[in-house]
Amino acid sequence: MNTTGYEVVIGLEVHSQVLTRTKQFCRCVSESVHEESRANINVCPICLGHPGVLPVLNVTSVGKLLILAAKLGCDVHRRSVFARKNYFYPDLPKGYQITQYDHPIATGGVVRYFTGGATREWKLTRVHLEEDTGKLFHLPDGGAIVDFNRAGVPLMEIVTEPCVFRTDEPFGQACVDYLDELRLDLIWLGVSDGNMEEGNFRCEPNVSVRKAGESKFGVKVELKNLNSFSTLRKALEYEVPRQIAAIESGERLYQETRRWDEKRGETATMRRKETSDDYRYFDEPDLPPLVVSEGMIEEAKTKVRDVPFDVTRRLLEEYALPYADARQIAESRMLTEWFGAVVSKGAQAKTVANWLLGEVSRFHNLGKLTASPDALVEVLEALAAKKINLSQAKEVFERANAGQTVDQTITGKARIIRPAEIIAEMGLTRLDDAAALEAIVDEAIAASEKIVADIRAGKTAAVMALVGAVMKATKGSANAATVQEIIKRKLGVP
Amino acid sequence: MKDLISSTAAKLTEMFGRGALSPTEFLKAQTEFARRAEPNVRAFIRILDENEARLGVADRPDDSGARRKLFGVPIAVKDNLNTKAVETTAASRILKGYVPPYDATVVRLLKEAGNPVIGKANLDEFGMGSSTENSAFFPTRNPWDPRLVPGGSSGGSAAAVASLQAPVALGSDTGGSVRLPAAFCGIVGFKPTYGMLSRYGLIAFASSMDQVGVLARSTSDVALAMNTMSAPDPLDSTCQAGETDLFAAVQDFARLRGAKVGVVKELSRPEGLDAPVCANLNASIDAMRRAGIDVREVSVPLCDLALECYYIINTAEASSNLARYDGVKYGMRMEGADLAQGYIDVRTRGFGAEVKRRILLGTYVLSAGYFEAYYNRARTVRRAIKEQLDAALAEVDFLVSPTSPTLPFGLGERIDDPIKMYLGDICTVVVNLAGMPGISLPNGMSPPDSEHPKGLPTGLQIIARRFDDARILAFARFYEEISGHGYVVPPMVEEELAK
Amino acid sequence: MDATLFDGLCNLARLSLPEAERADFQAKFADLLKFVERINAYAGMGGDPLVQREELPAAPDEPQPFNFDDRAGLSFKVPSIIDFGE
Repeated sequence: MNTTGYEVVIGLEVHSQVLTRTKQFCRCVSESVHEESRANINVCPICLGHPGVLPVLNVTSVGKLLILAAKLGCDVHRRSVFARKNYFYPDLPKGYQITQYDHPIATGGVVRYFTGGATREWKLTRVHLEEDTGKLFHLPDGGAIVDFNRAGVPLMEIVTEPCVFRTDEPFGQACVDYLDELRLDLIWLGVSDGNMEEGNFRCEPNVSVRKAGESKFGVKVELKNLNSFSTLRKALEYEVPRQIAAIESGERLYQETRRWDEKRGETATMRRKETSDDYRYFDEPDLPPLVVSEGMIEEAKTKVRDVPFDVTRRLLEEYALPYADARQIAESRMLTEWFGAVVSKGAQAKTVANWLLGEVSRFHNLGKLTASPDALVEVLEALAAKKINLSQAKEVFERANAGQTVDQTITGKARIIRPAEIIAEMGLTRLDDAAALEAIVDEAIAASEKIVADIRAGKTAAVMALVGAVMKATKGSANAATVQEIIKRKLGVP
Repeated sequence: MKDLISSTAAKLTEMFGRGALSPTEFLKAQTEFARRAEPNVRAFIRILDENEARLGVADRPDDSGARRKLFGVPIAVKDNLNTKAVETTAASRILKGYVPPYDATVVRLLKEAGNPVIGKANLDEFGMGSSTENSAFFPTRNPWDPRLVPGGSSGGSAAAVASLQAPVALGSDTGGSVRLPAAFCGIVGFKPTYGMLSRYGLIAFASSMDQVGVLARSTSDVALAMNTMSAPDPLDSTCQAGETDLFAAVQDFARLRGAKVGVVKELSRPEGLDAPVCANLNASIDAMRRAGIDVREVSVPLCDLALECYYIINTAEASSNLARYDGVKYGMRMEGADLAQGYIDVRTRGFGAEVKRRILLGTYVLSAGYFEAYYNRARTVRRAIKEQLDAALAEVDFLVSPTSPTLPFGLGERIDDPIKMYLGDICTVVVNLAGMPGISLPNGMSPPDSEHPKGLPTGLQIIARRFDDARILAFARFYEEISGHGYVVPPMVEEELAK
Repeated sequence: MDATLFDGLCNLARLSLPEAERADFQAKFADLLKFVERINAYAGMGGDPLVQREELPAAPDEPQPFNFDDRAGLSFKVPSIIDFGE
């Protein structure tokens, strides 16, 4: 079908649960509960919408939104207002949702991300607070059980400005790139869990088409119940041609909500009553205006952290890593921390990147990463000094990661073996590592009071006895001369 | 015991406090009298048995803090205030069988201070009405004449106090629902400043105007009740109560001697009032002048749009507040196989006609296309009304008017004419729109006639600035002193007492 | 009053009126509308809505689980939702 001559306009709406201990308007525990057997375990008269109850706002959810707003450069409105959105549904206990309408806490802002090495951005319209609904467990007879555990959980709604694409642009991917970046930002800032499968990060695109160059917007369709990025992309890529085809054939397009039908591979109307969309918003009379203080805004700013976009940019600009590598590291807080720690001790950026994406990730994915960044530092130093070759280095790292303890040291206490010792133990080199030797000598000194007393009394032969103990502990791989030097220095004998 | 039945709550508290009388014994006697009087009054949806009445009630008075509080006094609680483990219906079928899992904050505070709940008082369904005829169960009667309405929506609360079935009652006032029945029944009815009492546990009608109120036979009793209930509540974001000692303020009423009072012209036009109401208003003004009070006329022009403004805002908020009654979670439950029809069935069967009317009007004024013309305009008028009242109260300390333009009317007389019914609220709604404190005091009787040997009561309304609750109660006490007006035992009740 | 409009309102509010009461109800409702329409006599518009409290007091994020005496009542079942969308 010929889609040239058309433009696609997409706006993305994200609902993300906020990481707090309690719900938005009551102090019930806010947590993900999936089993029907645990339905209604975290409820109270307030989140059940009993007669006579009143909402009380969770101050931490405001704080979390302010952190996001600070990071994304939003305008924070010191005074904002809550509103009621009125409609009937079994999972909406009060028959209205408390949200923000005319006066949200934050407007504007930008989410920046990389795609294929270049930076892009999506402008935001607004970010505001609201509350989540309960859940329905559908029964075989067509009815449902209502679980209000999720009712009242704090939600943040993040809405983008409409973005215009040509039909031959990868608009589906552009949306996924933005959403994934936003998701990571929320996780890294400690604002949300960002887990789409668990349902605490939900995306609803609004999509319309129009003839290229036109300024008026076409009929807008909202897509819902897209529970993965790939579903979202498929749904968009189906919907755009559907709308164009309708226009071309003179068929009428309805402003409606559609869902993705996986079996049929198409979007389908969600059946609803005709007059459903009049939400009759009005200011929530039970909540005075929210006034955000300068202090709250400043405190939020102190909690702003680097996010994957910042890390990616640094890896590209300061370390000239290839984009794919940079991106992979930047998306993992763990790998980002390791990169920083290892490179700061002098290792080569590209080498570190390879090891992080290779061995470190391999062990991490198996759930077996116990080594610390210091261990990698030691391995890479030995490698760089050509004391070991690459395959030996990998073996050393694996053994370091195995959490092996040093057997029977002088004190009888076990400690995690260091790569330098492993290298020595494997007979690959003498144990010259000053820090490791110092540690072993300290142990020997502590364990041999009598010998130490003799040494101090001037019996130089006793020094050799101590050296012997250390040689034994290092299975002969230590450098005896170095050991002797260290012992004499520590005990202050010539 | 009979003398005690007509005691003030202040006297009872004092006697319980020094051990001269046992609260349990008194509760028994009061309850027994209430049951005897009930067939003629029907003030209560239910009179509680002793166990229910004493659920959660402390044995000792609340001595914390400096304020004097009620102790041991049986309270009639309007059935739109939640009482834990005791059915609360808001006089609606849709809440039949609803047993709250918690006490309203004001109820809890009364219980913690040692005051039992004698019964759940009748009301207009969800507080919507001015006569208590909109109760889904039965209408309450005016103790002055059982063919007349007691006023509403807190008609049960007012009738209970007026017929000596309880010394003190809790009501709620959204557009006059405590003051109006107080006037019709010849007792004191106080609506505090919006925010003085917690609304947590008060079944919501119009959230920005609802306020718990107190009905009693004297101003001192009202003040004691207020001291017991007025406290900050973290469960109500609109509650701004402090630690004001209202009882102490009331005892210090003499200093109100130099007060300035403004009579609201728009609410006191003789052509708009029943003759006895007008006459008693004038007599009250004279009494005040004789006592040295500067009484002048003030104008609040927007009073002439107050009812329209009130009925747009209250119905808008109510249409939203009542959406939770859907048959899913509590009360009357949904039946049948279809959800969509289920909602409609429950709400159609569960709500009375007046409630349905207001829900529909509220839905209308909020809907797309009409919001600007109705709701938004009403909000503008509301702000302007407050500004006019503030301006008037910058010139004087208190405003006065009749509480009701008419004497109590007959059961069934206005029920088929909603607008006529609404017009009875003309004097009281401005106070709720502005969030100010207002009180109705008995200010005399209509001329006695063959039907009414003592006449029928009228009420004087006093209005003050927001958070001037201590002063308005003190001035009310002052008025009681200088006018000699106060509670009079209705003939029907005298008969009952004599038995 | 327009019947479609009235039906639309009933639908939004999930209410219905038995045939017998309909005419009377609609007539009374029309009177009500005429009554509140008088608000348009006021020419002014705009300004901030009246708020009784200037600032909302938010609460600390501390869990306070609620103890229901009767947990048996916490089971909520609804009939078929097929025709209801969302």
